[in-house]
Amino acid sequence: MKKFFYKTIALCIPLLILLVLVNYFGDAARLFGNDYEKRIAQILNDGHYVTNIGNYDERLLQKELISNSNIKSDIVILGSSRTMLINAELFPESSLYNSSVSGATIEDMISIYQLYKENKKLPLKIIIGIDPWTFNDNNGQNRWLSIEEYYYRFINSSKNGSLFNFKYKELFSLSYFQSSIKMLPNVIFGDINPQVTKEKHNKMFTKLSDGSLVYDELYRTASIEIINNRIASYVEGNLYSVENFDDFSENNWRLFEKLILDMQNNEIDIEFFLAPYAPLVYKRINNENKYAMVLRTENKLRNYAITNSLKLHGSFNPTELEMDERFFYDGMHSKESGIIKIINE
Amino acid sequence: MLFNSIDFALFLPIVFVLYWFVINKKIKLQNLLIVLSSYIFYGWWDWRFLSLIIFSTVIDYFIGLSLLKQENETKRKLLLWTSLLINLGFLGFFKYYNFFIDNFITAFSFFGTEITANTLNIILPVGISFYTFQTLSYSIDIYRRKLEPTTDFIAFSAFVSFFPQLVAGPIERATHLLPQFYKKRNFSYHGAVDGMRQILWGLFKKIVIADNCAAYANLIFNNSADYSGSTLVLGALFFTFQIYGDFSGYSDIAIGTSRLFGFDLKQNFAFPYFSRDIAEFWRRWHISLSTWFRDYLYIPLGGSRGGTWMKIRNTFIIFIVSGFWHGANWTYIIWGALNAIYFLPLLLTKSNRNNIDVIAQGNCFPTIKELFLMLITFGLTVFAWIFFRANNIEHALDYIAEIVSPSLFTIPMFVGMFDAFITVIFIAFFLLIEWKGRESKYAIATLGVNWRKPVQYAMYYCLIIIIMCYGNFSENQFIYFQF
Repeated sequence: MKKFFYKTIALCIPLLILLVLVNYFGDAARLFGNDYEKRIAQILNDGHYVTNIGNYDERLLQKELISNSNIKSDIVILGSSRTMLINAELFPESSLYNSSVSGATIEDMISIYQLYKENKKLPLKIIIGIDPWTFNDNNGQNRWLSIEEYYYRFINSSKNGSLFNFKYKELFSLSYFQSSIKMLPNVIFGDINPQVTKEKHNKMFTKLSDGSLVYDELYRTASIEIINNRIASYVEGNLYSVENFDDFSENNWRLFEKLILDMQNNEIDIEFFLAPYAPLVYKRINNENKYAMVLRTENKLRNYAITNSLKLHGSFNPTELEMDERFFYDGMHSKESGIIKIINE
Repeated sequence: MLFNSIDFALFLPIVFVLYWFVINKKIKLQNLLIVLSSYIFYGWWDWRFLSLIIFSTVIDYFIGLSLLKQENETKRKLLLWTSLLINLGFLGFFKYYNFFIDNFITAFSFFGTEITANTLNIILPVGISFYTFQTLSYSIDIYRRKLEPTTDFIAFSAFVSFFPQLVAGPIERATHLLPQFYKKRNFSYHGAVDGMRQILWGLFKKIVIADNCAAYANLIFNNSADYSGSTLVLGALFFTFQIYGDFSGYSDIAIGTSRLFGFDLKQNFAFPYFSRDIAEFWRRWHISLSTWFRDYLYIPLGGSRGGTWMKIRNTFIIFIVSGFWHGANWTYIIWGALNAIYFLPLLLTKSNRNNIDVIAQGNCFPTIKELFLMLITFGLTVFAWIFFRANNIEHALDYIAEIVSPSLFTIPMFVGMFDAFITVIFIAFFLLIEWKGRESKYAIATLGVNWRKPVQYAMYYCLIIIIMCYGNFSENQFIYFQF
């Protein structure tokens, strides 16, 4: 019995070590190498563009950027990847910083706002990119936990968070292992070191010094056929973070109202930005009952904006904006031309 | 708790250590530990439904004891019917209530009468079909005087709730499993190693084969209107391997886990996709359910005795009930009926027991005839699985209509074709290993047992690393949990 037990343990230990080592060093989401975000932030804070970066923690980067930058912007963008392409050129009269993070939730927006607040860098205006999943309790997003302490301070909670659990649990995660093992060769050969660039358009995606993003060459220059394929395959699968959107989250709505109130108390001008879905995707949202809450979210936001005299740009519905497939990179991300159209309308 | 979850990976060694290192000298304590850990295992999903298992256990325990004491046949029958009504009543309510209400409403409106009845938002308790059948067999066997009822309530509770097979079988008979709870369990090193090997193979089947196939099967079935006939054939094939990998993988893990605790469960799958006719397929697929229906339904109905019409009637009853056991949907009933249609010609021509032995026994390759028969049987099975997987009858018919259209002769296309190609390579590897091990109880039972230790360990590590690198770890539920 003991022989069996010890042999099984002996068999498992090398596998456990392999799992932890690959997850730690491959580190697909850059959970264990905070230095990486610091290096990117340093380049951006020096006013340069940075490329050849991958799988970093966007929340930690915001923390580094906001804490260590000397610049205070007039306009700040809070939102997700759907607002990440909004850049300073659209607002030539003012300075702009785009603090969007992928898959942003209400907790992300609160945490980043709190970062600005604590560092006394609150802007004059905040444009909030709101996605339907902001009010979906089942959105499956937990990346905000990287900067959760700011969220808890905003809501005056004594909770310090469970970053340890969130982060170190990944050391033993097999799905994290699958992503990290693919990154391992790049880590070993130093292929993911951030590179300073003067060009906005590079082979890899590029983060500009205003915080906005320029997609990689392959994504940026795709033909309309490829884009249509992207949209078609997106429609076939689960729609990002809005599956299981069974109820409109009243709790998130309360947080949202609290955030708006705090901004108003700090005399910040607020505008909303609703990024559209590609026409085929919106058609599915409109036709399938399970996405009814997406439509309700837009209605509720529109009413709220009218009641509170806040400006609202855009819509989830591309037809409202007269945007066809040519204005999209994929099922849920508009091109720069689409963003210009929305902002200037 | 899922077998392919971190929770189970922690739960199993804890129970194992307590079982063998802390209370290994007392059978009663070991049984009590099994009961408690089984309740934790089950309650991990929804502790509320534990009450159903406990209620079922108490009822059948006392009915069993009463059946022993009672000599009056009418009263014995009454006791048996009490057990049947309570167990099947729970099953019927939780699993079939909404189905019957919906169909009554449809039937009445067909004849011009509008009736109103509310369906209920009922959660199906995981594994209810499995443990209900297990307890039913206990009461029926005592009634038939084939089994002495137990007076050991803890042993009986352990038999009903034994966690390795509680939620998805194999459905054990009291005559086989219950006596094992009375005997002292001695740890067998070779038995435990064999159990671990079977668990490893089960995990490979579930995580690498079934869960990867599930992604493509779901994609194709859920959007079947957008795909060509050739792609739909691929979708049906992916589902064919998904359901086999999923369910037989679960059985392997269940049997392997039981062996770690000194228990022997019955084989549930015997390489069914290598069958040469449908009768052989049904002797090799979900054996514990097929034999349950044979012993408690088919034979009492008269079996294959009697005239032709009786044989036809009994065959249809057993296959349709078997289909209905899988779920409250007409698709399962059609699936069952279709299998009855496949099976009947064999029964009526008395060729249903032509292929009792293992295919190509002692040979590396099958004969041309065997290969042909195997492919025909496999094709019929794949066709029947379309009904099993489809959302409703209309969906299944549309799916089949597209397959038999000219688009069958186009090149299959769907999102993620390259990744699917890797899955196909794993299916080929899987079939090769299954073919090689088809004379054993599970595919790798004898693979490499005579190899030198380092080579053996290399094989284990290879399998584990394949699971780690190519497995699907989104904690997909086992399909049969819903049945």
